Amino acid sequence: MSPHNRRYRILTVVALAFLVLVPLHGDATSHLLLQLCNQVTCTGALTVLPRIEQLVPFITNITPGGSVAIKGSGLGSAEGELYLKGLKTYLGMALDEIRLTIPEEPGKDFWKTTAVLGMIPANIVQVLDQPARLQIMTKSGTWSNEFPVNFTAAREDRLLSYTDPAVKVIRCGTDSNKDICNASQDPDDLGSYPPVIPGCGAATFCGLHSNCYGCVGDDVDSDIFEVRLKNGWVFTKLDTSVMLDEGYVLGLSGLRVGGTYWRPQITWKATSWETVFYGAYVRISGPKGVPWK
Amino acid sequence: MRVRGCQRIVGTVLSALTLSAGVSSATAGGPPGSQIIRVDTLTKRQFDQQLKVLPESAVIESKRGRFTVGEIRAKGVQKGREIEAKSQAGDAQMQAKFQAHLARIEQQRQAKLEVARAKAMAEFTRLSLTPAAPAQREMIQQEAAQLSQRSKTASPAERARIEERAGQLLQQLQRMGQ
Repeated sequence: MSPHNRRYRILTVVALAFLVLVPLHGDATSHLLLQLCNQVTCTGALTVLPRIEQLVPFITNITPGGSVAIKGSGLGSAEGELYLKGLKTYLGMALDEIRLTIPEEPGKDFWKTTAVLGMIPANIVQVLDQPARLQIMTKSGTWSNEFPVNFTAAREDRLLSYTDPAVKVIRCGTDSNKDICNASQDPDDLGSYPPVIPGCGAATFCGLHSNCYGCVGDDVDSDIFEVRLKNGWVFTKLDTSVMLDEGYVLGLSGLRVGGTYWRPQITWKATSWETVFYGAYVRISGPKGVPWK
Repeated sequence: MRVRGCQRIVGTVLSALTLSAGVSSATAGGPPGSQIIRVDTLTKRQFDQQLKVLPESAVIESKRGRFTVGEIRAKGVQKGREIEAKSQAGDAQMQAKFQAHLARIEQQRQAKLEVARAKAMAEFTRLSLTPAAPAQREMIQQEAAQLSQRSKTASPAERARIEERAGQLLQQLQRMGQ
């Protein structure tokens, strides 16, 4: 390539760069000032827009009964209003905005120009854990930005009953003369002894298998149950009770704490003249006021 | 009840034949004139049927010995009552245990909330008492207003400097928001 051609090419590249970069640079800088003025007031009287900037960690707990400590600017020296917004029920229906209470204590001020402390009402129920928003309205009626938060629903504990739709008998062993699972008897049984059919009481599931009195030989079989939870409910504990003299009951274990599905298979043996009876009590925990089935 | 397979009792003959073969007049061990049922000649189902219809005095003969139907029924009733009583007692215990757990959990939740609330109020007061940091946002806003005012009459060169400063202020705002 000749020196003339090389010079020509360099000049072309420089000219193109100038044409492309200079207008872009100009647009970009105009855009920056515009952006800045969108975030703070650049015209008229100098006013500070209310703004939630951050939540103070460790003393903020976005849950019913919890507290929220906000750091911000332009919140005003007179007490305004603090709201929790955007919550939905577990059915997806929007809840009204919830006004947080500002605590009162003689000699202390929990609403300041740069910080606010609010208390979340304890009676928020029928909601799941979900994202929500905090927003402040100053005494003069100016709204702040909406600040995103993660709301944690209040919890309640229950003992799951055998009559609950979340509990199912998948299979009830039939090898004994009397076979009862969750208070429902094998229709083929002739009503042999013992004549009493104990209910499950408060158990989540139970089984009774009675070998006939006077018979010879053991009865061995298994029962299968299924427990399924939804809407954020989980298993928290399993208690069991077993009554037998000689046989055995196996499989009354394996519940996963924090799990939502359990399909236990209970294998049992009732020797002659014996009745095997067992019960499982499953504790669950989940969002307050929300169904688990 | 599963009839086939649950029988460890010897013999799987037809019911009528079995019954006629299994029932005889009592000899030793039972009341005079009573029937004797040999368990090992009956299926469980047949045995169940017999238990329901035989008189109390009928004798059942098994490997465990000889028992009258009355004795077996009484034992069954007794066993049933034992199971019922035990299951009810066990159930009551489980319910009481759960109620105690509920009370304890609720107490813990309330205590935790109270402590958290008190801590939040104390900590908030402590933070509020600390001399406030310069109101950075207010200073930014003040400067932004000045930049905006200057930009109206600024030369292209000065405008470029204004834009550059606006970019820096924007970055500061973004850092504050994090």
